[in-house]
Amino acid sequence: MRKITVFMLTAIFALATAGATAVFAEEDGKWYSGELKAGATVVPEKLAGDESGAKGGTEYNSLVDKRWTTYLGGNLEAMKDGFSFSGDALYRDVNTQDYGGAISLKRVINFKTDYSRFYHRLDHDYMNNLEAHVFPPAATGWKNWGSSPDLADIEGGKTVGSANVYHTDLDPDSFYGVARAEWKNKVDFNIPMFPGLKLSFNHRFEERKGDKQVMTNSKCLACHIVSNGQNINETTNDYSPKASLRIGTLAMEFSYLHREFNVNNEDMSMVYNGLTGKELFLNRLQYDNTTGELPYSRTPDSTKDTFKGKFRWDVNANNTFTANYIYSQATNDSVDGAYDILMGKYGDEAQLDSNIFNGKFHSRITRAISFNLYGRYQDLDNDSVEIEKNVRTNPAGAPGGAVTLSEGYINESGWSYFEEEEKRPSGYDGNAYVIGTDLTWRVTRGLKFKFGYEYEREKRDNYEHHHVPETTKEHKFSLASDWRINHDLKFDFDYRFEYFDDPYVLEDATCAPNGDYGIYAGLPAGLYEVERAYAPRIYDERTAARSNMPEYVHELHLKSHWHPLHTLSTNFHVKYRYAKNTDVDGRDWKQNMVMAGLGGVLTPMKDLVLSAGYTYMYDSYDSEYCIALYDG
Amino acid sequence: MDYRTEAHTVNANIAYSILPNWSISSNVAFTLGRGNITDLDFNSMYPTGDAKLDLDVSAVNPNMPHLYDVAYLNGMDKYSDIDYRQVDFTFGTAYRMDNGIGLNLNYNLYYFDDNDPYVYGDQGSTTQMVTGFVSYSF
Repeated sequence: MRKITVFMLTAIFALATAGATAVFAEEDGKWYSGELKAGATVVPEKLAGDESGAKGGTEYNSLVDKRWTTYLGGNLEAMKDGFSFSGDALYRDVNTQDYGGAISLKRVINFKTDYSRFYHRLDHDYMNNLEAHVFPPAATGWKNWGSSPDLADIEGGKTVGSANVYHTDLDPDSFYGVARAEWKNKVDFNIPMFPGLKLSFNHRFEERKGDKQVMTNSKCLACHIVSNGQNINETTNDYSPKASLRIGTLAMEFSYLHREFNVNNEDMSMVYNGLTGKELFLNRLQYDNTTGELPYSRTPDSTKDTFKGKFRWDVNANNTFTANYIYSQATNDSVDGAYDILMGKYGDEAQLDSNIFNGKFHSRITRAISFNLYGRYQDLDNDSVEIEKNVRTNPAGAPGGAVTLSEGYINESGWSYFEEEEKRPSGYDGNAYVIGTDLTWRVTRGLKFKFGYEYEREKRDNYEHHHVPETTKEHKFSLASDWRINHDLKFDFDYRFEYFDDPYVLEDATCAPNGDYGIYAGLPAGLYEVERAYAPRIYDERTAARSNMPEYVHELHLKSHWHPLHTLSTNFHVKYRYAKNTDVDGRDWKQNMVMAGLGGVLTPMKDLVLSAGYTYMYDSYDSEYCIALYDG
Repeated sequence: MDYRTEAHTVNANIAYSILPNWSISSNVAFTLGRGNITDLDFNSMYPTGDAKLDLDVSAVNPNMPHLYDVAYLNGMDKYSDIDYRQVDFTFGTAYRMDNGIGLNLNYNLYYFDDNDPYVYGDQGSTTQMVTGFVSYSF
């Protein structure tokens, strides 16, 4: 990609230079114009290493890491005998580049290209909040390894076995960031022999390169988080041919998109810690150091294919019918790798298929009244994921035993276990349809009203598995008006009310409906089974529904434009949203949001423009959660 | 619990052609951002009946100066606190001569004051940039 950008920069500069040379040879040559720029940027005090996670104006700015960077740019426009060319280029450093160009040949062939590259500084979570320990006093005798610890034990790294929540950063001194580049090309062919026929081809290339922080758990699962740096190298290629045709009152367009997402990231894997000296726990772990390297932070390669057909029929001057159909298939290409059992649908590709139909009829009944009638249908079919688990049954004998993890998995005669296949159906499966209408009434030249109603029904196929409602019916009412009092004063008003039945909630999500916390009744009999404690003692105690989606919404929007003076233009806007969900157990979920702003532009004289603005935003959510915190 | 975010943003611009071939422009933007959780409360149960030690470990982890107890978990609302001030200021001037040559000078100031750093560390910084370039129009 660097070769491409250097080539583009060189080509545009060469053309610009040639034009600049030619202008001296041809004094009247006004068919081209352009500009060359050369300079530098200096940063008096470049961003220090410990500020590399800085936000503000530096989050997307790669220049502040260096004392000096170049500033090279230019643009060229030329037009002669039906041929036109325009190009611009700006190079500041390898991670800050912008190029663009367009060529037109008698408007029969139009070509356009754009390339840009920027750097995004990413966060480094130091995980200091994941640090909590439990140390029962020796007197209790409860799981007490030796004497009660003291500060020296903790500093000496003896806290691991006692940690309640713990973290390990394997790359603590690194700062992360990703350079993103995008190159877009488009060419159109207008066939002279077939007026109305247009053939196009689009290509988009996107590249992400850099390093980011990635996390995984450890043998102690979510209570011990481990992070490291990962080298990122991801590319996306979109190829999209398109044909459009207009014959009389009928217009149609067909397009196809093929997208390839390829991942060449660093393969991350980790050997979990062993529990040397703590044999009591060895046979309770799914994985430890005896399992060897285990993968994490793997992003799959994927492809996506989309077919789209659009139709428009201008029935007459007042009535128009439009429709389109979209078929899309997204495929996960990386499910048949070396770690099938950890990746889900092993040995097969996972696919998401979608069909969408849209239709709309517009009619202008009179000069003052018009209406739209529209509808949409969509279905989604996503492959299920097959999970294969080794489930150990409760062994005979005393808890703890002397059998290790590996022996527990491979020895059928000693420790009993069985393979269990679990099918996890997708939460995407289902369908939805929308029907709606809106009516616009122009009362006077300056006053217009618009009334709208929309009904949507969403049906989820696997609602029982995912503990969500089977259907959600949504009613949306809207009222809008534009009021132009005179040439200098204008108001826009918009009110929407939305009602959801049943709103999207997660059932059995948390707590008990009365707010009680689950009663911990101790370990169940099946001490070594996979679901041995969490399912009956934690998860099954959750009986209340929670959600962050509304049951009803009120939304109000007001805008005004006022020109009190010939040289002064002002605007004001305010938006208020109130949303609530009472269809949850315990405390209602609520949202209050206000956005307001005012601005003005003053032009006291021809060569002076002053502008100023103020924006206020307030957003508040009120909810109830119940989070289980495990004790050691 | 409640989670609230609040932001005030003020900006002002000026563009002035002092002479037909000499212009200046400037922009300043100030943002005050805040966010916090309130009414966070952890009730507790100790199913195993173990007492918690009040051992001072602030030298190891100043964010949790004592050993584990839900009393300290009730301080977790502070993890989500946001309180920052940001100023972006730019000033630029361009002078164009009759022969097509132009002189351009731009100054940028980025100021970010992180008053409540925690998870990602202190993300505050002050950075200045000066860019100068010569242009030739044809």
